[in-house]
Amino acid sequence: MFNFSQWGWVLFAWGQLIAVYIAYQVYLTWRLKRLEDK
Amino acid sequence: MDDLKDALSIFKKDLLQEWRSKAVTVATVFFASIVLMVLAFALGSNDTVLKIAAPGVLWVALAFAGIISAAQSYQNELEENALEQLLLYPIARSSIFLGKLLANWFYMSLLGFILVPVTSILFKAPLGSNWWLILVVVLLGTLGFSIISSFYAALTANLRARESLLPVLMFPIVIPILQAAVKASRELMTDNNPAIVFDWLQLLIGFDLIYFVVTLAVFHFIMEE
Amino acid sequence: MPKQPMWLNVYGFVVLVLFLLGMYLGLVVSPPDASMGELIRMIYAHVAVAWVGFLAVVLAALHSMLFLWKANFKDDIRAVAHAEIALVFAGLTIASGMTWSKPTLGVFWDWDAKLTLTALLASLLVGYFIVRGLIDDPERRGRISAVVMIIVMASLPFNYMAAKWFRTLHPAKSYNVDATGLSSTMSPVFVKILLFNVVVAAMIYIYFFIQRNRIGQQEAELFEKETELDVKGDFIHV
Repeated sequence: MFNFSQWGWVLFAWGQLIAVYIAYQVYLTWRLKRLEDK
Repeated sequence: MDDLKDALSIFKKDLLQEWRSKAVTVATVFFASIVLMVLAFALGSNDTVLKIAAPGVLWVALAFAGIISAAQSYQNELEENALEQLLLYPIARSSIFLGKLLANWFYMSLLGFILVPVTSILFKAPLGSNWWLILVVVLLGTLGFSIISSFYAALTANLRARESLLPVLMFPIVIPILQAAVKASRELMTDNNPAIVFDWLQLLIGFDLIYFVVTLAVFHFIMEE
Repeated sequence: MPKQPMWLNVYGFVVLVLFLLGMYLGLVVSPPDASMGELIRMIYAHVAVAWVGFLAVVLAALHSMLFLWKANFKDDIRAVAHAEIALVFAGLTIASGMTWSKPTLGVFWDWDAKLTLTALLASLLVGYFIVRGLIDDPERRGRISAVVMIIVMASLPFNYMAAKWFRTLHPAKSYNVDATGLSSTMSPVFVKILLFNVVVAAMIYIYFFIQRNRIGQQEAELFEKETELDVKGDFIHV
């Protein structure tokens, strides 16, 4: 029994983790690059 | 016990200062009146709603008063560098904290004792035979609030944007204290359930004790050397 | 500044693989729950970030206390790193918590004790950073923000109690069912997958922390060098 609306919310939640993890890593890398350039 | 005497001197000094300038008195009476009036107008058509709102109104007005009083108590010292002078005296930092805390608490509970009958009448929330219990709630609630507000007022005293920073820093910490106080007040003003009040009073005592100890312990870290 | 060491990059890659594995366990391997259905699959993500977020706050407070005790700026930098990542994880906890709330309880927010606590924690952390932003002197900044962080940690149990009793009439006697619906009688497969995801989240946290701490330490060293240079410059002009 495939409950689409439930799966939608589930993927949305996991998507938040993925998006934020990537965003924070990008921020860290950006800050690191800025330091390396100095 | 010297520290206690010093604290009491600071307490008396602050009260005397306030008696002369009446700055805090004017501001807090003004704010309290506005809170009471606006909310009474907004909710006034329905007596039941008024009664339900009564404890919340009481504590909103008190919270405003508490923040103003705490901010002012360190503000006074910033003018003419009085704070530096105060720190030069051979008294323990904690005495300064204690003295100002006592002043803020005294002032806030005095206002509370006045606001209780006023709110009770205006918001149609009669107190019943256990009316003295609400005075205990006011004392314990304002103590907890004053501990936090005095502490953060000292912390933000030398910072830029201190007026807006004080409520921002205080707000999440002070929520449990206000909540317990409002709930306890509600049992007395709205629901008439005095037995439950003691549960909330225990909570308030716990807050007051723990925050008192913690703030006293870290206070000397926040004063300038 | 030295480039990121190879072992750190390898660790990051390992963590990425483990994260995908944890996600796979949650989305595919885990059976649906009897009461929550497929929604259990997001609990793995939500609880993982929640636990790690609160651990981060404890670590931030710990390093704050260390800084007050030993006045070693390395501790101040560590505290900031923990606080920053804590804020990230707290934000994720709130977002995923609301995402759980809507299909389960019908609303995005219902003053659930744990979510309210997390929201309060997030605002406390924001306050911490505002205070840091307002003080320029590093010693004073470290000292005052350390005090703020200690009070933040002290407030957590109270905030939790208050949030738990927010809607009940008889706080000491009974209270409503905890809205996360997690029972201690979760069957073993759920618990194992949950714990795996929690451990992975902690490993991700460590990965972020090591990077953020390195950045902080390097920036502090640069700051010291720059201020020394300034002093030398004035001296020459005089």
